[in-house]
Amino acid sequence: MAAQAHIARPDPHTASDKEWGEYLFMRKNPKGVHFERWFHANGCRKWFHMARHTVSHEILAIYGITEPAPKLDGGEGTS
Amino acid sequence: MKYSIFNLLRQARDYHKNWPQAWRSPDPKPEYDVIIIGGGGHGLATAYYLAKEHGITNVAVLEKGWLGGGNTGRNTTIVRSNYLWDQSANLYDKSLQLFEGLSQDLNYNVMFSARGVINLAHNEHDLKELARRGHACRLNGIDYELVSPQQIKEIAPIINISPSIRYPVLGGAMQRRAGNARHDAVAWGYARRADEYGIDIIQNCEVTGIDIADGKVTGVQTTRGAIKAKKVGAVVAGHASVIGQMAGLKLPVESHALQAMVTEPIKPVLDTVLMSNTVHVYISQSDKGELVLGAGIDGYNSYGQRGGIDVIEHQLEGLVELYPIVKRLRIMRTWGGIVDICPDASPIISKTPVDGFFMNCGWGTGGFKATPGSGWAFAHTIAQDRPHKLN
Repeated sequence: MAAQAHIARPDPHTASDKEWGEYLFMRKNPKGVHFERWFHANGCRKWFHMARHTVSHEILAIYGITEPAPKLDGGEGTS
Repeated sequence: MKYSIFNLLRQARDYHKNWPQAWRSPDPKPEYDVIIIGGGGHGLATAYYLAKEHGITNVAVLEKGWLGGGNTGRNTTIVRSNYLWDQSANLYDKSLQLFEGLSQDLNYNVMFSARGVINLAHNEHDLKELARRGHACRLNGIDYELVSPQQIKEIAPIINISPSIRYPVLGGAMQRRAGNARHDAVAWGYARRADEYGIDIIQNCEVTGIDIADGKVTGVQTTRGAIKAKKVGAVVAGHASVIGQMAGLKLPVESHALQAMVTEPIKPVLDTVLMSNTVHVYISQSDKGELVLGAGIDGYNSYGQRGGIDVIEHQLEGLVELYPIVKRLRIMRTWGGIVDICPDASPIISKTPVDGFFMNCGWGTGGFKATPGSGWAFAHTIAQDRPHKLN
Protein backbone atom coordinates (compact mmCIF):
# COMPACT_ATOMS: atom_id res chain seq x y z
CA MET A 1 0.00 0.00 0.00
CA ALA A 2 1.22 3.47 -0.80
CA ALA A 3 0.15 7.09 -0.77
CA GLN A 4 1.68 10.52 -1.20
CA ALA A 5 4.59 11.28 1.14
CA HIS A 6 5.81 14.54 2.70
CA ILE A 7 2.37 15.79 3.75
CA ALA A 8 2.66 18.32 6.56
CA ARG A 9 -0.21 18.17 9.05
CA PRO A 10 -1.56 21.64 9.74
CA ASP A 11 -2.36 22.67 13.31
CA PRO A 12 -6.01 21.62 13.74
CA HIS A 13 -6.62 24.52 16.15
CA THR A 14 -5.60 27.22 13.69
CA ALA A 15 -6.14 25.65 10.25
CA SER A 16 -9.10 26.92 8.25
CA ASP A 17 -11.69 24.45 6.96
CA LYS A 18 -10.20 24.86 3.48
CA GLU A 19 -6.67 24.09 4.70
CA TRP A 20 -7.94 21.09 6.68
CA GLY A 21 -9.93 19.82 3.68
CA GLU A 22 -6.85 20.14 1.46
CA TYR A 23 -4.80 18.23 4.02
CA LEU A 24 -7.36 15.43 4.23
CA PHE A 25 -8.44 15.03 0.63
CA MET A 26 -6.23 16.76 -1.93
CA ARG A 27 -3.38 14.60 -3.20
CA LYS A 28 -0.84 14.99 -5.95
CA ASN A 29 -1.60 12.68 -8.86
CA PRO A 30 1.35 13.15 -11.22
CA LYS A 31 1.81 11.28 -14.47
CA GLY A 32 5.53 10.92 -13.87
CA VAL A 33 7.69 10.88 -10.74
CA HIS A 34 5.73 10.45 -7.51
CA PHE A 35 7.09 10.52 -3.94
CA GLU A 36 5.24 8.00 -1.81
CA ARG A 37 5.11 6.49 1.64
CA TRP A 38 4.96 2.70 1.43
CA PHE A 39 4.17 -0.03 3.94
CA HIS A 40 5.67 -3.45 3.22
CA ALA A 41 2.56 -5.33 4.36
CA ASN A 42 3.50 -8.79 3.05
CA GLY A 43 7.14 -8.71 4.16
CA CYS A 44 9.18 -6.88 6.78
CA ARG A 45 6.28 -4.57 7.75
CA LYS A 46 8.57 -1.57 7.45
CA TRP A 47 7.43 1.95 6.53
CA PHE A 48 9.62 3.68 3.96
CA HIS A 49 9.60 6.33 1.21
CA MET A 50 9.91 5.65 -2.49
CA ALA A 51 10.33 7.84 -5.56
CA ARG A 52 8.59 6.03 -8.39
CA HIS A 53 7.50 6.72 -11.96
CA THR A 54 3.72 6.25 -12.27
CA VAL A 55 3.78 5.18 -15.94
CA SER A 56 6.81 2.87 -16.10
CA HIS A 57 6.56 1.92 -12.37
CA GLU A 58 10.36 2.31 -12.26
CA ILE A 59 11.71 2.76 -8.72
CA LEU A 60 14.03 5.75 -8.68
CA ALA A 61 14.95 6.08 -5.00
CA ILE A 62 14.26 4.51 -1.61
CA TYR A 63 14.78 6.57 1.54
CA GLY A 64 13.74 6.84 5.17
CA ILE A 65 10.46 8.43 6.24
CA THR A 66 12.22 11.27 8.07
CA GLU A 67 14.48 12.17 5.14
CA PRO A 68 13.69 14.93 2.61
CA ALA A 69 12.78 14.03 -0.96
CA PRO A 70 15.92 13.39 -3.03
CA LYS A 71 16.73 15.45 -6.11
CA LEU A 72 16.33 13.29 -9.19
CA ASP A 73 17.36 13.73 -12.80
CA GLY A 74 14.37 14.69 -14.89
CA GLY A 75 12.01 15.57 -12.09
CA GLU A 76 11.60 16.21 -8.42
CA GLY A 77 8.72 16.38 -5.99
CA THR A 78 6.97 19.29 -7.61
CA SER A 79 4.20 18.01 -9.85
CA MET B 1 -28.43 3.23 -42.77
CA LYS B 2 -31.00 1.93 -40.31
CA TYR B 3 -30.01 -1.45 -38.90
CA SER B 4 -32.95 -3.82 -39.36
CA ILE B 5 -33.72 -7.40 -40.33
CA PHE B 6 -34.59 -6.22 -43.85
CA ASN B 7 -31.30 -4.39 -44.33
CA LEU B 8 -29.49 -7.40 -42.87
CA LEU B 9 -31.13 -9.67 -45.46
CA ARG B 10 -30.44 -7.16 -48.26
CA GLN B 11 -26.76 -6.95 -47.28
CA ALA B 12 -26.53 -10.73 -46.90
CA ARG B 13 -27.79 -11.07 -50.48
CA ASP B 14 -24.81 -8.88 -51.55
CA TYR B 15 -22.38 -10.95 -49.47
CA HIS B 16 -22.09 -8.12 -46.89
CA LYS B 17 -19.93 -6.08 -49.26
CA ASN B 18 -21.98 -2.87 -49.17
CA TRP B 19 -22.36 -2.03 -45.47
CA PRO B 20 -21.62 1.68 -45.06
CA GLN B 21 -19.05 2.87 -42.51
CA ALA B 22 -20.65 3.28 -39.08
CA TRP B 23 -19.01 6.68 -38.61
CA ARG B 24 -16.71 9.00 -40.57
CA SER B 25 -13.09 9.80 -39.69
CA PRO B 26 -13.06 13.53 -40.43
CA ASP B 27 -10.20 15.98 -40.09
CA PRO B 28 -10.76 18.51 -37.32
CA LYS B 29 -12.48 21.77 -38.33
CA PRO B 30 -10.86 25.02 -37.12
CA GLU B 31 -13.69 25.75 -34.68
CA TYR B 32 -16.58 24.03 -32.86
CA ASP B 33 -19.32 25.11 -30.47
CA VAL B 34 -18.40 22.30 -28.10
CA ILE B 35 -15.34 20.05 -27.85
CA ILE B 36 -15.55 16.89 -25.80
CA ILE B 37 -12.17 15.55 -24.67
CA GLY B 38 -12.28 11.77 -24.41
CA GLY B 39 -13.85 9.32 -26.87
CA GLY B 40 -14.87 6.70 -24.37
CA GLY B 41 -18.45 5.76 -23.66
CA HIS B 42 -19.04 8.82 -21.45
CA GLY B 43 -17.67 11.30 -24.00
CA LEU B 44 -19.57 9.76 -26.92
CA ALA B 45 -22.77 9.64 -24.86
CA THR B 46 -22.27 13.31 -23.96
CA ALA B 47 -21.95 14.19 -27.65
CA TYR B 48 -25.05 12.18 -28.55
CA TYR B 49 -27.22 13.77 -25.84
CA LEU B 50 -25.90 17.26 -26.74
CA ALA B 51 -27.35 16.68 -30.20
CA LYS B 52 -30.47 14.74 -29.25
CA GLU B 53 -31.62 16.63 -26.13
CA HIS B 54 -30.16 20.09 -26.72
CA GLY B 55 -29.88 20.44 -30.52
CA ILE B 56 -26.14 21.20 -30.38
CA THR B 57 -24.47 19.42 -33.31
CA ASN B 58 -21.39 21.53 -34.07
CA VAL B 59 -19.43 19.26 -31.76
CA ALA B 60 -16.14 17.35 -31.89
CA VAL B 61 -15.13 14.40 -29.75
CA LEU B 62 -11.33 14.20 -29.44
CA GLU B 63 -9.83 10.81 -28.59
CA LYS B 64 -6.08 10.27 -28.15
CA GLY B 65 -6.27 6.57 -29.06
CA TRP B 66 -9.22 4.68 -30.50
CA LEU B 67 -12.91 4.73 -29.52
CA GLY B 68 -13.61 2.85 -26.34
CA GLY B 69 -9.97 1.74 -26.06
CA GLY B 70 -9.66 2.90 -22.47
CA ASN B 71 -11.86 1.90 -19.56
CA THR B 72 -14.93 1.47 -21.81
CA GLY B 73 -13.32 -1.67 -23.23
CA ARG B 74 -11.63 -2.76 -19.99
CA ASN B 75 -14.46 -3.07 -17.46
CA THR B 76 -16.50 -6.12 -16.45
CA THR B 77 -19.68 -4.75 -18.14
CA ILE B 78 -21.87 -4.72 -15.02
CA VAL B 79 -24.85 -2.34 -14.94
CA ARG B 80 -26.74 -1.70 -11.67
CA SER B 81 -28.21 1.16 -9.63
CA ASN B 82 -28.41 -0.26 -6.07
CA TYR B 83 -26.74 2.67 -4.36
CA LEU B 84 -27.25 3.83 -0.77
CA TRP B 85 -27.23 7.61 -1.07
CA ASP B 86 -30.09 9.43 -2.82
CA GLN B 87 -27.73 11.40 -5.07
CA SER B 88 -25.98 8.26 -6.32
CA ALA B 89 -29.15 6.18 -6.55
CA ASN B 90 -30.99 8.77 -8.65
CA LEU B 91 -28.10 9.30 -11.07
CA TYR B 92 -27.28 5.60 -11.51
CA ASP B 93 -30.95 4.68 -11.86
CA LYS B 94 -31.37 7.33 -14.58
CA SER B 95 -28.51 5.53 -16.28
CA LEU B 96 -30.11 2.10 -15.83
CA GLN B 97 -33.40 3.44 -17.23
CA LEU B 98 -31.55 4.74 -20.28
CA PHE B 99 -29.84 1.36 -20.64
CA GLU B 100 -33.23 -0.37 -20.69
CA GLY B 101 -34.22 1.42 -23.91
CA LEU B 102 -30.76 2.03 -25.31
CA SER B 103 -30.70 -0.56 -28.12
CA GLN B 104 -33.92 0.90 -29.60
CA ASP B 105 -32.84 4.51 -28.99
CA LEU B 106 -29.48 4.00 -30.71
CA ASN B 107 -30.70 1.47 -33.31
CA TYR B 108 -27.68 -0.55 -32.18
CA ASN B 109 -27.77 -3.75 -30.17
CA VAL B 110 -25.91 -2.98 -26.93
CA MET B 111 -26.93 -6.44 -25.66
CA PHE B 112 -28.25 -5.11 -22.37
CA SER B 113 -29.25 -8.18 -20.37
CA ALA B 114 -31.22 -7.66 -17.14
CA ARG B 115 -29.95 -10.91 -15.68
CA GLY B 116 -29.83 -9.58 -12.13
CA VAL B 117 -26.95 -8.69 -9.84
CA ILE B 118 -26.48 -10.27 -6.41
CA ASN B 119 -24.27 -8.66 -3.77
CA LEU B 120 -22.99 -11.24 -1.30
CA ALA B 121 -22.70 -10.75 2.47
CA HIS B 122 -19.79 -12.51 4.18
CA ASN B 123 -20.17 -11.23 7.75
CA GLU B 124 -22.75 -9.73 10.08
CA HIS B 125 -21.82 -6.21 9.10
CA ASP B 126 -22.28 -6.98 5.40
CA LEU B 127 -25.77 -8.36 6.14
CA LYS B 128 -26.78 -5.23 8.05
CA GLU B 129 -25.29 -2.95 5.41
CA LEU B 130 -27.18 -4.76 2.62
CA ALA B 131 -30.44 -4.57 4.60
CA ARG B 132 -29.94 -0.83 5.10
CA ARG B 133 -29.03 -0.32 1.45
CA GLY B 134 -32.07 -2.37 0.41
CA HIS B 135 -34.40 -0.15 2.43
CA ALA B 136 -32.76 3.01 1.06
CA CYS B 137 -33.06 1.73 -2.52
CA ARG B 138 -36.73 0.84 -2.17
CA LEU B 139 -37.43 4.33 -0.75
CA ASN B 140 -35.93 5.64 -4.00
CA GLY B 141 -38.09 3.30 -6.08
CA ILE B 142 -35.19 0.98 -6.94
CA ASP B 143 -35.75 -2.77 -6.65
CA TYR B 144 -33.33 -4.44 -4.23
CA GLU B 145 -34.40 -7.49 -2.26
CA LEU B 146 -32.63 -9.56 0.36
CA VAL B 147 -31.96 -13.18 -0.57
CA SER B 148 -30.91 -16.11 1.63
CA PRO B 149 -27.92 -18.38 0.95
CA GLN B 150 -30.34 -21.11 -0.19
CA GLN B 151 -32.03 -18.75 -2.66
CA ILE B 152 -28.61 -17.69 -3.98
CA LYS B 153 -27.66 -21.36 -4.39
CA GLU B 154 -30.83 -21.94 -6.43
CA ILE B 155 -30.11 -18.96 -8.68
CA ALA B 156 -26.38 -19.73 -9.01
CA PRO B 157 -25.70 -23.41 -8.33
CA ILE B 158 -21.93 -23.06 -8.77
CA ILE B 159 -21.62 -21.08 -5.54
CA ASN B 160 -20.25 -22.71 -2.40
CA ILE B 161 -22.50 -21.79 0.56
CA SER B 162 -20.72 -24.03 3.07
CA PRO B 163 -20.56 -22.26 6.46
CA SER B 164 -17.02 -23.50 7.02
CA ILE B 165 -15.18 -21.50 4.34
CA ARG B 166 -13.07 -18.47 5.28
CA TYR B 167 -15.65 -15.93 4.06
CA PRO B 168 -18.95 -17.85 4.14
CA VAL B 169 -22.01 -16.64 2.23
CA LEU B 170 -24.40 -15.47 4.94
CA GLY B 171 -26.88 -13.92 2.55
CA GLY B 172 -27.12 -11.33 -0.14
CA ALA B 173 -29.24 -8.77 -1.92
CA MET B 174 -30.41 -8.87 -5.50
CA GLN B 175 -31.32 -6.18 -7.98
CA ARG B 176 -33.25 -8.02 -10.69
CA ARG B 177 -33.34 -5.06 -13.13
CA ALA B 178 -29.54 -4.94 -13.09
CA GLY B 179 -27.32 -7.01 -15.35
CA ASN B 180 -24.74 -6.34 -17.97
CA ALA B 181 -24.28 -4.96 -21.49
CA ARG B 182 -21.75 -5.28 -24.29
CA HIS B 183 -19.34 -2.48 -23.41
CA ASP B 184 -17.84 -1.93 -26.88
CA ALA B 185 -21.30 -1.80 -28.44
CA VAL B 186 -22.27 1.03 -26.08
CA ALA B 187 -19.37 3.15 -27.35
CA TRP B 188 -19.94 2.19 -30.99
CA GLY B 189 -23.70 2.74 -30.80
CA TYR B 190 -23.27 6.23 -29.36
CA ALA B 191 -20.52 7.02 -31.88
CA ARG B 192 -22.66 5.97 -34.84
CA ARG B 193 -25.67 8.02 -33.76
CA ALA B 194 -23.57 11.06 -32.83
CA ASP B 195 -21.96 10.86 -36.27
CA GLU B 196 -25.42 10.77 -37.89
CA TYR B 197 -26.13 14.11 -36.19
CA GLY B 198 -23.00 15.50 -37.91
CA ILE B 199 -20.75 15.36 -34.86
CA ASP B 200 -17.06 14.90 -35.72
CA ILE B 201 -15.38 11.99 -33.94
CA ILE B 202 -11.64 12.49 -34.23
CA GLN B 203 -9.39 9.64 -33.16
CA ASN B 204 -5.60 9.66 -32.70
CA CYS B 205 -5.93 13.27 -31.55
CA GLU B 206 -4.42 13.88 -28.12
CA VAL B 207 -5.14 17.12 -26.28
CA THR B 208 -1.88 18.71 -25.13
CA GLY B 209 -3.15 22.01 -23.76
CA ILE B 210 -6.26 24.03 -22.92
CA ASP B 211 -6.34 27.60 -24.28
CA ILE B 212 -7.71 30.08 -21.77
CA ALA B 213 -8.04 33.86 -22.19
CA ASP B 214 -9.39 36.14 -19.45
CA GLY B 215 -10.64 33.17 -17.43
CA LYS B 216 -12.59 31.82 -20.39
CA VAL B 217 -11.81 28.77 -22.47
CA THR B 218 -11.10 29.51 -26.15
CA GLY B 219 -10.01 26.14 -27.50
CA VAL B 220 -7.55 23.29 -27.17
CA GLN B 221 -4.07 22.40 -28.43
CA THR B 222 -3.82 18.91 -29.88
CA THR B 223 -1.39 16.64 -31.67
CA ARG B 224 -3.37 17.54 -34.82
CA GLY B 225 -3.15 21.29 -34.29
CA ALA B 226 -5.06 23.96 -32.42
CA ILE B 227 -8.87 23.80 -32.44
CA LYS B 228 -11.06 26.66 -31.25
CA ALA B 229 -14.18 26.06 -29.18
CA LYS B 230 -16.76 28.05 -27.22
CA LYS B 231 -17.08 25.29 -24.64
CA VAL B 232 -14.88 22.35 -23.69
CA GLY B 233 -15.94 19.34 -21.65
CA ALA B 234 -13.42 16.79 -20.40
CA VAL B 235 -14.36 13.25 -19.44
CA VAL B 236 -11.11 11.32 -19.44
CA ALA B 237 -11.25 8.93 -16.45
CA GLY B 238 -7.71 8.20 -15.19
CA HIS B 239 -6.25 11.25 -16.92
CA ALA B 240 -8.59 13.75 -15.22
CA SER B 241 -5.71 15.21 -13.19
CA VAL B 242 -3.57 15.61 -16.32
CA ILE B 243 -6.28 17.49 -18.26
CA GLY B 244 -7.30 19.37 -15.09
CA GLN B 245 -3.73 20.59 -14.66
CA MET B 246 -3.76 21.97 -18.21
CA ALA B 247 -6.68 24.18 -17.15
CA GLY B 248 -5.01 25.07 -13.84
CA LEU B 249 -7.37 22.91 -11.78
CA LYS B 250 -6.49 20.74 -8.79
CA LEU B 251 -8.84 17.77 -8.52
CA PRO B 252 -9.49 15.50 -5.53
CA VAL B 253 -8.79 12.35 -7.53
CA GLU B 254 -5.99 9.80 -7.62
CA SER B 255 -5.34 7.45 -10.54
CA HIS B 256 -5.09 3.73 -9.84
CA ALA B 257 -4.97 0.58 -11.93
CA LEU B 258 -8.09 -1.61 -11.79
CA GLN B 259 -7.67 -5.13 -13.11
CA ALA B 260 -9.99 -7.67 -14.68
CA MET B 261 -9.54 -11.02 -16.37
CA VAL B 262 -11.35 -13.81 -18.22
CA THR B 263 -11.09 -17.58 -18.06
CA GLU B 264 -11.20 -19.89 -21.03
CA PRO B 265 -14.77 -20.26 -22.36
CA ILE B 266 -16.95 -23.01 -20.86
CA LYS B 267 -20.58 -24.09 -21.23
CA PRO B 268 -23.20 -21.88 -19.53
CA VAL B 269 -22.91 -22.18 -15.75
CA LEU B 270 -23.98 -18.75 -14.52
CA ASP B 271 -26.86 -16.57 -15.76
CA THR B 272 -26.57 -13.77 -13.23
CA VAL B 273 -23.87 -11.46 -11.85
CA LEU B 274 -22.36 -12.10 -8.41
CA MET B 275 -20.41 -9.46 -6.51
CA SER B 276 -18.45 -9.74 -3.25
CA ASN B 277 -17.17 -6.37 -2.17
CA THR B 278 -15.68 -7.81 1.02
CA VAL B 279 -13.27 -10.12 -0.82
CA HIS B 280 -13.24 -8.19 -4.13
CA VAL B 281 -14.54 -11.01 -6.31
CA TYR B 282 -16.87 -10.09 -9.17
CA ILE B 283 -18.04 -12.79 -11.57
CA SER B 284 -20.36 -13.13 -14.56
CA GLN B 285 -20.33 -15.23 -17.71
CA SER B 286 -20.05 -13.67 -21.14
CA ASP B 287 -22.07 -14.85 -24.12
CA LYS B 288 -18.88 -16.46 -25.44
CA GLY B 289 -18.71 -18.55 -22.26
CA GLU B 290 -15.74 -16.92 -20.59
CA LEU B 291 -16.09 -16.19 -16.89
CA VAL B 292 -15.47 -12.45 -16.55
CA LEU B 293 -13.71 -11.66 -13.28
CA GLY B 294 -13.08 -8.31 -11.66
CA ALA B 295 -10.63 -7.45 -8.89
CA GLY B 296 -10.10 -4.49 -6.58
CA ILE B 297 -7.79 -1.56 -7.34
CA ASP B 298 -4.03 -1.78 -7.00
CA GLY B 299 -2.89 0.06 -3.87
CA TYR B 300 -0.67 2.69 -5.48
CA ASN B 301 -0.99 5.49 -8.05
CA SER B 302 -0.49 4.42 -11.64
CA TYR B 303 -1.02 5.58 -15.21
CA GLY B 304 0.45 2.34 -16.56
CA GLN B 305 -2.76 0.47 -17.61
CA ARG B 306 -1.50 -2.68 -15.91
CA GLY B 307 -1.46 -3.93 -12.33
CA GLY B 308 0.38 -6.22 -9.97
CA ILE B 309 0.05 -10.01 -9.87
CA ASP B 310 -0.65 -9.88 -6.09
CA VAL B 311 -4.07 -8.33 -6.75
CA ILE B 312 -4.94 -11.09 -9.21
CA GLU B 313 -3.74 -13.75 -6.77
CA HIS B 314 -5.84 -12.24 -3.97
CA GLN B 315 -8.90 -12.16 -6.22
CA LEU B 316 -8.41 -15.76 -7.36
CA GLU B 317 -8.01 -17.00 -3.76
CA GLY B 318 -11.50 -15.78 -2.96
CA LEU B 319 -12.84 -16.95 -6.30
CA VAL B 320 -11.81 -20.61 -6.02
CA GLU B 321 -13.23 -20.87 -2.51
CA LEU B 322 -16.57 -19.32 -3.46
CA TYR B 323 -16.85 -21.06 -6.87
CA PRO B 324 -14.85 -24.33 -6.64
CA ILE B 325 -15.62 -25.41 -10.23
CA VAL B 326 -13.29 -22.70 -11.57
CA LYS B 327 -10.27 -24.31 -9.89
CA ARG B 328 -8.93 -26.01 -13.00
CA LEU B 329 -9.86 -23.34 -15.53
CA ARG B 330 -7.10 -21.36 -17.19
CA ILE B 331 -7.02 -17.58 -17.07
CA MET B 332 -6.91 -16.46 -20.70
CA ARG B 333 -6.19 -12.76 -20.32
CA THR B 334 -5.69 -10.17 -17.61
CA TRP B 335 -5.62 -6.43 -18.18
CA GLY B 336 -5.83 -3.14 -16.34
CA GLY B 337 -7.47 0.25 -16.80
CA ILE B 338 -6.68 3.51 -15.03
CA VAL B 339 -9.53 4.78 -12.87
CA ASP B 340 -9.85 8.14 -11.09
CA ILE B 341 -10.66 7.57 -7.44
CA CYS B 342 -12.36 10.28 -5.35
CA PRO B 343 -12.10 10.32 -1.53
CA ASP B 344 -15.90 9.76 -1.32
CA ALA B 345 -16.04 7.41 -4.34
CA SER B 346 -18.66 9.71 -5.89
CA PRO B 347 -18.33 11.33 -9.30
CA ILE B 348 -18.00 15.02 -10.13
CA ILE B 349 -20.02 16.45 -13.07
CA SER B 350 -19.41 20.15 -12.85
CA LYS B 351 -18.66 23.61 -14.09
CA THR B 352 -15.17 24.81 -13.18
CA PRO B 353 -13.60 28.16 -12.26
CA VAL B 354 -12.67 28.44 -15.97
CA ASP B 355 -15.65 29.83 -17.86
CA GLY B 356 -16.84 27.38 -20.52
CA PHE B 357 -14.70 24.50 -19.25
CA PHE B 358 -16.49 21.52 -17.71
CA MET B 359 -15.21 18.42 -15.94
CA ASN B 360 -16.78 15.00 -15.56
CA CYS B 361 -14.55 12.77 -13.44
CA GLY B 362 -14.17 10.66 -10.33
CA TRP B 363 -16.18 7.67 -11.57
CA GLY B 364 -13.55 5.43 -10.04
CA THR B 365 -14.32 1.74 -10.32
CA GLY B 366 -17.97 2.20 -11.35
CA GLY B 367 -17.98 4.18 -14.57
CA PHE B 368 -19.35 1.79 -17.19
CA LYS B 369 -22.81 1.39 -15.65
CA ALA B 370 -23.11 5.16 -15.57
CA THR B 371 -22.26 5.75 -19.23
CA PRO B 372 -25.73 6.85 -20.45
CA GLY B 373 -26.62 8.80 -17.29
CA SER B 374 -23.23 10.49 -17.10
CA GLY B 375 -23.44 11.60 -20.73
CA TRP B 376 -27.04 12.72 -20.30
CA ALA B 377 -26.28 14.84 -17.22
CA PHE B 378 -22.97 16.18 -18.59
CA ALA B 379 -24.65 17.23 -21.85
CA HIS B 380 -27.23 19.16 -19.79
CA THR B 381 -24.47 20.80 -17.71
CA ILE B 382 -22.58 21.91 -20.83
CA ALA B 383 -25.62 23.01 -22.85
CA GLN B 384 -27.39 24.91 -20.03
CA ASP B 385 -24.19 26.11 -18.33
CA ARG B 386 -25.45 24.82 -14.99
CA PRO B 387 -25.60 21.42 -13.31
CA HIS B 388 -28.72 19.27 -13.64
CA LYS B 389 -30.30 18.37 -10.33
CA LEU B 390 -29.15 14.78 -10.89
CA ASN B 391 -25.45 15.80 -11.02
